Amino acid sequence: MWTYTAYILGKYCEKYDKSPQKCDNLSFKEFSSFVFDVLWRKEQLIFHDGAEDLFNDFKYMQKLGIVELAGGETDFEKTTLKIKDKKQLSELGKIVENSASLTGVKLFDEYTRRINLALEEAPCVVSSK
Amino acid sequence: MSADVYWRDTYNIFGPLFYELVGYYESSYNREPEHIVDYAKVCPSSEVLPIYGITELPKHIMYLSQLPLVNRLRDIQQLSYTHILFPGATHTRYEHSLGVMNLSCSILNKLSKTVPAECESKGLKLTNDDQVILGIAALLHDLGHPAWGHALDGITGFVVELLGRTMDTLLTPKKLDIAMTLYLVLENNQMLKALENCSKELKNPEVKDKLSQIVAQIIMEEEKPLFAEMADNDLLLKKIHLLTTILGTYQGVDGINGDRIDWIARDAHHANLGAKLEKHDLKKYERFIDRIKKEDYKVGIKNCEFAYVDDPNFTKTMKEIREKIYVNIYEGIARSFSDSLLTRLVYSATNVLDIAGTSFASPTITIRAIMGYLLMPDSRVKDFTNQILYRAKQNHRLLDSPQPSVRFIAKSYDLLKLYDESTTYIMHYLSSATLKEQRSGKEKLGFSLFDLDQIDKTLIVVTATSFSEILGRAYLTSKSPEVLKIAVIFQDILLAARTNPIVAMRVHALENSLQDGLQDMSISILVNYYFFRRLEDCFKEVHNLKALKKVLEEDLKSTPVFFILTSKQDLMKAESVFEGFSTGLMASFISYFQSIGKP
Repeated sequence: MWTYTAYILGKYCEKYDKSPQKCDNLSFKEFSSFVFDVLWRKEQLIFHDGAEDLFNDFKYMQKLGIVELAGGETDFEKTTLKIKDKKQLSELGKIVENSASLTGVKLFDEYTRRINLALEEAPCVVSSK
Repeated sequence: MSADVYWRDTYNIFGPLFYELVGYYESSYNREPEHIVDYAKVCPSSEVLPIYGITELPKHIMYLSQLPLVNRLRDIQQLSYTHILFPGATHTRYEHSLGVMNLSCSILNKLSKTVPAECESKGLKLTNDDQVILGIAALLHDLGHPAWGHALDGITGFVVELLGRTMDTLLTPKKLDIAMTLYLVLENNQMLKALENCSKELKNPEVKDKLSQIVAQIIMEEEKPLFAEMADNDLLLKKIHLLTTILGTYQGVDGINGDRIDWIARDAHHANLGAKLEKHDLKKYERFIDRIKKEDYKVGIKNCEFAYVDDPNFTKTMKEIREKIYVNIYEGIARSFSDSLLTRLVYSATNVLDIAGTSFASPTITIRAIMGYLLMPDSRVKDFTNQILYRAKQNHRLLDSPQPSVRFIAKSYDLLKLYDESTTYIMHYLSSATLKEQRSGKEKLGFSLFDLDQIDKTLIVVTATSFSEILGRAYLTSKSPEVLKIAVIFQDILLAARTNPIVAMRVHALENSLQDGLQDMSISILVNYYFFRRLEDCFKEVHNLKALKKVLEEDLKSTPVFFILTSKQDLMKAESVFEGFSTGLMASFISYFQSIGKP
């Protein structure tokens, strides 16, 4: 469900730092901590099987030219993410946001609602730099 | 119609059936276990299983197996309607669950004798508590399997959405049985109390009061902790990972997967896979089954956390046999047709229950009615589907929901009759139909046509190749970047159809529009959920439209996407008429996909 990973990433970067540099060097560890500690346990929305599954989404997005990964593929702790194409990431977010009304699948609305709630509830994180 | 009158009429028509289902759920599956079995009086016993022979049932397993919620698995066939083509394949979910319990506990026993010293020093000790927990998780891993097994996977997203109204945990629509099992393990009174009783067998106070959460975590096969209670207990989490990789697997971690080993051996045994294999493969298969029976393969523990099969030859053969089972038993046009039909029937009936429940009951009660319906044994679920759809057809004015349309539900009722009377014929016909018996329309459109003479029907199959053509034409004129086209196809077509194929593919609207254009033909559309599952599996290779075209036209080419069932049209035998029909059909699909995907 890489489209949702892209949606979460776009919203995450939007919320935590208005400055565009923030997501030029975001640690995978920090992002996965939001996904698994906040989105999973607080909002109980289970999107990814584990860190490997989440990482695979980023590898896919890297091939699409949306993000760039650096720092190692075996040790996720060392990996950093850089958004390569902010415009497309934002367009992707709109596709995900409009999906429920376009397709009639109501569950998609509940997914985005919980993601946005998790972002509101999440504590401000330490800078990845 | 005023709201009061609507409420009264809906209640009068659907209320008795709706509350019969609620009552069925409450009295059979939600009743506290104290009224059924006294844990203190239960004694260990044994049962004789195909493949493994005598299987010991310790007290807690013997106790659980007597509860209606578990016992119902004896009435759920493991392979749905596969037995029509493989009459031996009538084995049940219970047999498989017990097989997995037997195998998993035996593997754990083997592992406990070989725990490396470095793991012991890190605190990994395998105790009797682990045997109890793993045995329970293995026995319950398919607890929520509805009637007709995986045939109903296409309603997963809809059920997840319904469960999300009353349950905190919200899943992605991956597996129907896991979503329902999670609900039963965490929310069902019978199971919660039963697990409380079983926890008397546990010695470690840290796990005693968390048994249902631990069992849920293992069955879900999720690596990260779902529950706050276990999030900070590293040792417990590692133990859960170990038990999970004996029973199943995580993404990126090749677990032993006792579940998979058992269904490979059991399904192959009952369906007599050997009869379909060449001599060389047959010998390999027989050796493999023999190794499973004798547990003749090495297992180990990786990083003091994950169990794995330490025998590459065994793993390789398992992969090969698994592939043979898929090709020879699980897959094929006959099974896809049957599953797509059942998906439509059960989706329609569940929708009626939801619409009715929304008008006169609370969400919690509506879920119980739907659970009562979905948890019924194979033999009863058809009767209830019939009753629900019959009432809906007769009282369609009460179903004022646009999705699905009244016409769609009425047609589902007619399809149930067809299913009841003609499944054997259709499955036999489709499984033996050769290319010679099919006639294609325009070559590039790739629609296939089958004449079901015995029942005076015509079946048109829209394959992955046709689907590729449809998508290509629908997005040809769009000037947006390719990455956004890929995103739209993934999100609004693939993922939406994986979540709720009937709604996402707007089957009711498509059916109505085709029907309106062809007054002299009765049209029913079925969507093949498994096409979208397979497409998702292949999607990691899709980074542009060219790659998507390759996957659709080369890897999935003849996989059905839609089945269109019409009254028999002899005139379609004329090539020109079929060509005209196919072109019209293509135009309808293209216009639909253009409407949903506007990157």
